[in-house]
Amino acid sequence: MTDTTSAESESTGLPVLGSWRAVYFLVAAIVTTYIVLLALLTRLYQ
Amino acid sequence: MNPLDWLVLLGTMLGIAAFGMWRTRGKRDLDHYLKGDHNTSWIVIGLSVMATQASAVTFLSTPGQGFHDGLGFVQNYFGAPIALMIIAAVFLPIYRKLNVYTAYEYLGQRFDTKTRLLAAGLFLFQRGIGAGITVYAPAIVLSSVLGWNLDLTIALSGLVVIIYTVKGGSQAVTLTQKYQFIVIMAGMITAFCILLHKMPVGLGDAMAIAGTFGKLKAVDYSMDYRQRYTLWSGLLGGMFLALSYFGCDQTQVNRYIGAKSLRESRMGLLFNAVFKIPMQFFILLLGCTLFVFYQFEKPPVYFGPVTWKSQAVRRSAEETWAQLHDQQQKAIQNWLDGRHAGNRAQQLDGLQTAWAARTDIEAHQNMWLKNEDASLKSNQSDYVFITFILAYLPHGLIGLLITVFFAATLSSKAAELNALASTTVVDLYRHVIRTDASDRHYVLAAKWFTVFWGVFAIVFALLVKMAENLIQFGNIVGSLFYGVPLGLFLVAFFIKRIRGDAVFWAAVLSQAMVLLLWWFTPIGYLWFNVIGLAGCIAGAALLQAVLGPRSAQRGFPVLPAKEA
Repeated sequence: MTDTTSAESESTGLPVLGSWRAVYFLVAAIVTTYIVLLALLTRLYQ
Repeated sequence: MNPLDWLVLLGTMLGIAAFGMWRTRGKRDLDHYLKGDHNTSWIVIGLSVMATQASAVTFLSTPGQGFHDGLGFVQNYFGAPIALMIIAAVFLPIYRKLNVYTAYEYLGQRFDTKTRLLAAGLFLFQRGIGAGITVYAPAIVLSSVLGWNLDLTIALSGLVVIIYTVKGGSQAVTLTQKYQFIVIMAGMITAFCILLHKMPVGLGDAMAIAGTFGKLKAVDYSMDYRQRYTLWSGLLGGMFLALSYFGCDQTQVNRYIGAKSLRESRMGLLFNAVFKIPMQFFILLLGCTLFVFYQFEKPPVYFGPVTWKSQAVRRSAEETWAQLHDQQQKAIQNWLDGRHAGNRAQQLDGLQTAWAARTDIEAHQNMWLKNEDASLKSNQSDYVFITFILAYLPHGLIGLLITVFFAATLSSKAAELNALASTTVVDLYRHVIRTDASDRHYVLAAKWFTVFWGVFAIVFALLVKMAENLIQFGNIVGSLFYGVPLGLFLVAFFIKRIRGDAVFWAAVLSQAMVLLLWWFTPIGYLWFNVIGLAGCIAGAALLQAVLGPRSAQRGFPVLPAKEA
């Protein structure tokens, strides 16, 4: 996938997260945290 | 509504529309008219994508869904962030690299004209109907509770959006969506704060009550396929639905391809990946909080318009209703007292009595409907939040919340009209009918097609009066025509050897199969997304194998060789 590979090398413009892979990882981590928190909420008030 | 509410409503709605037209005044070429000025930042792209998806039904009906069914609906959005990341990483660089106006233009370059026209045609059909429902669904709720004329409500809200969308094009849609979404969030947060302020118990007790009545069950691990909302259906089904909607539906593609750079488009999509679940959670939580509130304040017997067999029956039902509600309220208070005192026996007694009272209340509601003492015209969920707003919010804020519903209607409809006009001009008119006209001619054509689709949506909403069935009809049409286009795009992006002839006929046959199955079998309509998608991909692979490599030599390379 030549096109998406070169697109991945474009700068994110973020001071800490330099690569898009790191940005996706952070988003995935945030979303996973949401689901875990919602699962805990469900368990707490079961 | 009093004059202050009207002032807030008209001032905000017309003010935003006028500001959008003023800021985007001046002549534009087709590129700027359909894609904006290419200087839109990621936060505006993010808000625009969010405002396009969140229609008035989101803010009217979702709190009611939280009220009746709790937080479970939030699982529907679990797959959306995954889809948005796939779009940001794979779909978006290709759309931007090829500098397309519409997503279907890419299919034309990757496959051939007939495949492009098929995808564009499917989009125009289902989104044209969808635009009518976007106006109709909130109008029927607001006109019935506010006593407005339904036809006038539909026509006026439809006309406002046509005017500023025609005048300012994509840039005006994005700009107005930003301010409309700010008003929407301000209104919803204000309503939530007032609800908490009026709540006779603290947040901890409120959560305990909501949890006791099963409203805080946000995650369901059940593998039962008949369960509508589970963790698995949300992750898998929700991902495919979001992939189709955000990645292949021009209504959304139009919102993010016109950004300043690939980075801005990507960040706008990832903004939605991060904030979509919290936003839906917040709206559902508002509904759960309303449920707790109405354990202490007596709600109407039914939310929304109800016809009683006679006045005597109505009075009798309301008396019974008041007694049942009192019993439940006392039981809940008893349970809370026990909870505060740490008295487990009192807690258990209060809880059992409260549950019994709740069951009794629901049994009576069902009995009155079954015996035809009362009949409901529409879904109660749609009326829960608006009933609270009209009964408990001060004037001025009532106007603000009605503005929220209209702002949501206008922002969704504007994006739909803009996308419908883009697709009609770029994929049909410029590509097939008038291939050699001037840029100015195409801009004018885009304006007239915006008017055409705007009027089509209004006429559709005015003529087809099927109340709740219409909303379900919209969902059915969406499911029937979403799977096959997603199949086309996934083949285009990921299966290099498949070419135009194979994928086109596979798509035609899959769409025909979906329609036949819908007509002749009792399959639940949500499954047609999967059937259409699987049929298109499997059929294309099979046909390509039959057609052989000669067919595979034709066509456009899957991905361009390198970044410019």
